[in-house]
Amino acid sequence: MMPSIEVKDLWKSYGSIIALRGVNLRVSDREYFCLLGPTGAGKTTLLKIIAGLLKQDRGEVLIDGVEVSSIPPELRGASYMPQGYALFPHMTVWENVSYGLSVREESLSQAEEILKLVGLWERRDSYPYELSGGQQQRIALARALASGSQILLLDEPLSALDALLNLQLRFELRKLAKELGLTVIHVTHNAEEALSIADKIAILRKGKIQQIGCPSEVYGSPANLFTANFLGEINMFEGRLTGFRGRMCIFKVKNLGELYTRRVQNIGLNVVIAYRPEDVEVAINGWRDENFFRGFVETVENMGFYRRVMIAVNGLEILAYLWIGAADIREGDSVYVHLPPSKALIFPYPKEGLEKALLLE
Amino acid sequence: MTMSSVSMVEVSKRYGDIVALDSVSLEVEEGEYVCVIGPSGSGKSTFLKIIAGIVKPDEGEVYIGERMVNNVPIEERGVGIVMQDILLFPHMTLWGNLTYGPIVQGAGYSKAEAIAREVVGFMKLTLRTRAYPDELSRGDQQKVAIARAIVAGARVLLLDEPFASIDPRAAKRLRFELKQLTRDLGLTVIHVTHNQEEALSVADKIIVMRRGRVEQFDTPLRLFSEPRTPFIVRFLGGEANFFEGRVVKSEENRVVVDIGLGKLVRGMGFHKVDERVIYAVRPEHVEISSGEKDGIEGVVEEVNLMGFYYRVVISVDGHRVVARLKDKFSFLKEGNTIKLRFKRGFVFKYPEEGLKEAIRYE
Repeated sequence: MMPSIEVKDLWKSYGSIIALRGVNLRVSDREYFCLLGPTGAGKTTLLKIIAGLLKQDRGEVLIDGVEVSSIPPELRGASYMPQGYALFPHMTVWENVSYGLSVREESLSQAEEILKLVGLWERRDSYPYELSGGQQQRIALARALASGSQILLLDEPLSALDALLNLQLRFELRKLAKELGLTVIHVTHNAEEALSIADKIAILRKGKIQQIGCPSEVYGSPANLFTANFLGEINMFEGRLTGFRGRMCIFKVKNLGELYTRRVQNIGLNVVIAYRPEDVEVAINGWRDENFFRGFVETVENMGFYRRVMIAVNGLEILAYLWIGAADIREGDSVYVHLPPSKALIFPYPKEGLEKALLLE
Repeated sequence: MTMSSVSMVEVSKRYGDIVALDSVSLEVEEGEYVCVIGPSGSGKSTFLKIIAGIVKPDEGEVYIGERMVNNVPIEERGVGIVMQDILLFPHMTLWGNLTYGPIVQGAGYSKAEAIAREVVGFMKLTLRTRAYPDELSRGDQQKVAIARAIVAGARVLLLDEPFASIDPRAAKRLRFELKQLTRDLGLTVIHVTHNQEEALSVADKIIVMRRGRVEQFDTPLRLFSEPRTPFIVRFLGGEANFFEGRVVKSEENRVVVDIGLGKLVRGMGFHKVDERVIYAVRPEHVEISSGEKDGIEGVVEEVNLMGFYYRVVISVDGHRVVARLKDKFSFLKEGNTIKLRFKRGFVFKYPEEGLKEAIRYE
């Protein structure tokens, strides 16, 4: 079996609310696919339709090339893990994991194997309340895996965990899926989580796919302003194209003056130029190159391995991330900000206005 | 000690067999913004509730300013409490909510309104004061809840996960505004959060709690530069690397340690030659170079894009080493042999409980 998943022009409404607006995507066999988006984007709806727990208004879901609309959830070969993953509190770990499995010896020995895989075989006689949050999470996962399905549909599997546990478990999860050769769709609102473990990411907003690509594609070349903003903090400047010089575009930016960027084609006259904070350079002394702006340091927040530095330039605020070991910069310092022309992300000015283009809901 | 400092002297609290606070002593100075972090169940909330007067300690003394408040009821402690669940009165307008405190304290309408107006002006709250709480975003509601506590005369703000149910972007703005406001007004703030980034960004000092005790109480900078225990290294800033080792050379606070990776490593700490130690390295202190260079040899196992940086897992002689890099070098491919070097390592005396227990997180 080659469990690929294909979704074609999927629509779904709840009364007057349209949850999905013509979603298309394809998940290959053994791919780790993350579905990323803010609350209310339609992620859970999409996952539930694939699982067979909800019916679409229009469109098709194909598993392994077969249209599955008329196939009940339990026969789709997919295991769905809902958000919140309630374990049965009155059942032991073993009972939770083996519950619902047929009593054939084969499947029971598989449950044993999976409990060993998630490192909790020793705790099989414990009750959920005796376990930590991370352990409970692993049990829920083991329960989903024990069904033997080749497809795993996970709805926010890590959102109940704190940052450090989330970090640990997400890599374990990916590793496990790869070892077992599973095809996974993992729903999350956490951009870092998706970027770090996905083979491919689909960004969903208001029921519409914004972009599908591998992590470095969607982060490095976001398709639109929403995606750029949703995947990480970003500086945005409204600019107007005023000319070209060699292989560069020249934009006029209010309060900043002329900004040179790499050459882009057919972008239109009015644009938004975006810079990721890690691409903003900060120096005590200026160079003679283009795109240097004088400013002063408003705030420095020390995050351990990097510093979040806010610099005021002529009334604009520019955010920079400085890596550990970078220049010692303090609040009130006068500095130069450099915006490297090659690092600019350039988008046509959105018809609906910048603020609306970024709205999460 | 001044008017709105907060101190605890040997405060303990048990719930049945569970020790929630285990002889905690510390002092938060007037005007300080202190964040409390720690794993779940470490005693953060109990700590805050004891200062608020919601929970009574079994032992020890709690002071606000110079006054011992163990037997002082909540409403007379001069503290304002703001929680994750926003507790505005839903049937009252924003203005009604804001002036409620001074009015029940007997200030009279015009006085209450004057105080509320002043705070609203100070907070740059541009609100339709006739609106009801549910007409506002959650972020703005929380802002009003904080304003209400200040209008009611709080000199000490106690915040329990105040931004946990607010959109993260709005929360980033709000935490910054709150920091400025409390600094300008000279308020003392104790802010419990599960969000380390939030704590690092706003706190003057951070209390790291673990198993009912204060593991370290320090500035954010010193928590990184001078961690007191292996747990602090593990808990702050993500996946640190830990090794067991033995000191082979020692000179003042610099030691050379054998951690069994073929090459000796340097570290910071006062230790005797031959002492058994834990050697801890943060991922950003792992330096990676191509295979031809000098250093400890390893094989790249994973490279993950984390957004603005990369996480690299390297296997070295059966150990896993996690590194954090700003840029991805071309030689960082799975299966490639590379060299690594530790730019900085923290050395701790080997604990009786063992390494695993010393850094246990849950």
